[in-house]
Amino acid sequence: MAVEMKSHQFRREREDTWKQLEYLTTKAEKKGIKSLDADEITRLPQLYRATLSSLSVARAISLDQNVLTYLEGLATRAHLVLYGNHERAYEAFSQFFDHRLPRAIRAMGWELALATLTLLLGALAGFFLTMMDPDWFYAFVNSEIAQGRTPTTSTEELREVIDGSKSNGVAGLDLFTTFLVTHNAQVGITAFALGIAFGLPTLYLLFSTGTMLGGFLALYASRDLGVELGGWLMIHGTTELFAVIVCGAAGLHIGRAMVFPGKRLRMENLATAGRTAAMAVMGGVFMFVIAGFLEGFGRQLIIDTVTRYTIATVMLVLWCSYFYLAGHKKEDDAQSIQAQ
Amino acid sequence: MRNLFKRSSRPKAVRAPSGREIRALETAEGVALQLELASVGERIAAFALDMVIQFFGILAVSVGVGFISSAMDSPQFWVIFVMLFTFLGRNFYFIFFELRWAGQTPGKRVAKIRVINRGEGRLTADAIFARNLLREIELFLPLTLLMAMNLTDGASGRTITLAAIWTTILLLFPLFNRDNLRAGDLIAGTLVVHKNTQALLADAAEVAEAQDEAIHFTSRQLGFYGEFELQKLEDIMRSKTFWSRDDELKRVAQTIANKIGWEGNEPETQTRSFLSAFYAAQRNQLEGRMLMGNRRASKHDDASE
Repeated sequence: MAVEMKSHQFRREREDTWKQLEYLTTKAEKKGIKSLDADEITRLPQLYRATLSSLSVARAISLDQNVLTYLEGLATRAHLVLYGNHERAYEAFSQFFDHRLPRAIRAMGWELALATLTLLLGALAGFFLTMMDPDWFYAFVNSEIAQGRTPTTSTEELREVIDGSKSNGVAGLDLFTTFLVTHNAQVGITAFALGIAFGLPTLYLLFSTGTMLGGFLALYASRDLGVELGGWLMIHGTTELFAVIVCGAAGLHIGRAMVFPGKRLRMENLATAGRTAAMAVMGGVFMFVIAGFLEGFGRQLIIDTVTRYTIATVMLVLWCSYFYLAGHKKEDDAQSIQAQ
Repeated sequence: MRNLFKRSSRPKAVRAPSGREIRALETAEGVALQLELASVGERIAAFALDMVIQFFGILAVSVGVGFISSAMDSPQFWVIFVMLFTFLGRNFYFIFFELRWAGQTPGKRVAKIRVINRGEGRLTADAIFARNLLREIELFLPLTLLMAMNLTDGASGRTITLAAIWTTILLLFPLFNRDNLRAGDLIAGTLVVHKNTQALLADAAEVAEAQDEAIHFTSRQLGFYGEFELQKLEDIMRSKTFWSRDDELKRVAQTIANKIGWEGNEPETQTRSFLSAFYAAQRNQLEGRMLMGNRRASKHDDASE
């Protein structure tokens, strides 16, 4: 070729810019954008824009497949580095508790109401059916959770379990706590994920949790131990049941978005609902951890029924006021505008 | 996104040279970047690798902590640790890596794929939570259910059937929508794409220029092929074949010579020079047409000139 090709000349003139951008992008991808110094941070967007313009020129004048693929990949990688998530872990953490979680919970008002109602209905059904015929107990409470407490157990033994005078047959506090937290959190996550089947399995899960609770209450109430059992259950139960309701509501939130897309496209709506719900579930997992500690430690150490009820009430008030009151200030800051 | 469930009504998919389908990513600068959709195969490979890593990670930690706890004479410590570690692995392995590595896990790195936000905006933590928490019912729950069924020796055939149907629907879900979304991607608003890390290679035409310049082509001889064939030739010139397989190279050169009516014996005697020169000349010619807004997609494209 006597005369140099345009695409060739084009490449020769801009190659340096691309190489520089490639170097900075690779560095940022490997070590994080924080590893770039002040000068590099300033140059990154400039190099990105120059490369983007190279790309659109290349698409118009070059048939060099390697250059086109290279620029396409480089521009995309740089774009995702520049517009990626630059939040530090502790920032994300504090933002989560500061306003993201309470807002996610507040966005699910109707679902929370429905989840609570379903749980209550289940509890009522479980309670009255077991009161009428103790055999229902076996249908509602599985043996693993009953830990040998059934309608045939003597009143004395039932009392021993809840007044703390006898270990409840589990090896130790830490082990028991770990088991409770992981098991309950897993059930909570499942309740959320099942929401994708239009929320129906979630409703079933909430209802059956309710019947189990009602069955237990009925068993103790039939021996005039209802009030004591209430204290024994509720010291962690207000937190734990709240967490169950939050996770259930998150599942219903997805289910609702699948059935009623509202004014937006179904896909968009589902994505927004899914993210809000996932945030709430992470909050639910956190609540299960707190509940696990209350159950594993608090319950064994505090055996006075009145104190137990006091703690139960305080926890409930704390959760409600946190979810209701936190994170209002920044409601219309840059964060929520960006989220649009 | 609008056409998720309407396969028939949409135009044929646009594909990258790699064969992957293309999705556009709009930038604020007005240039739409081309994203290559990750194939189902790549995603299965990445997932399988992640599961293997997870499995052996939990196994290694369990054995390691087993030694420590037996030294401490505290089996309880071991049970607690394994229980906790399994829970964290099951639920947070993917979340942890996707948060830290901007949408990649070890498996995804190897398979060269990454998670991005569908549409505009960055990949946020809540989306990563949502897409990965759903794995619980896509895989782990049906798996546990099936194992539980085996243990209790077919307590309920109906439950097994339901679990099987459920798993099948969710597993096959990515095959029945155009973006290969699994249920988790659907509710998180995410998309899994190929991570293009193509290196910048020497210009194939530059290689040609360094060679024999005595080979010239007439504009008639350059009027047969289009962009498609040019790219095929570029592929050949960049492949190992170009430097090792003489016979195959000669066959290619002969095919071109026959098509364009080349009379000399250069395809036989100076095969590489001939191909390089032809590539450079053909590209120059097609790029010249391109500048005039007159593109020729392939040899079958007779719409212009």
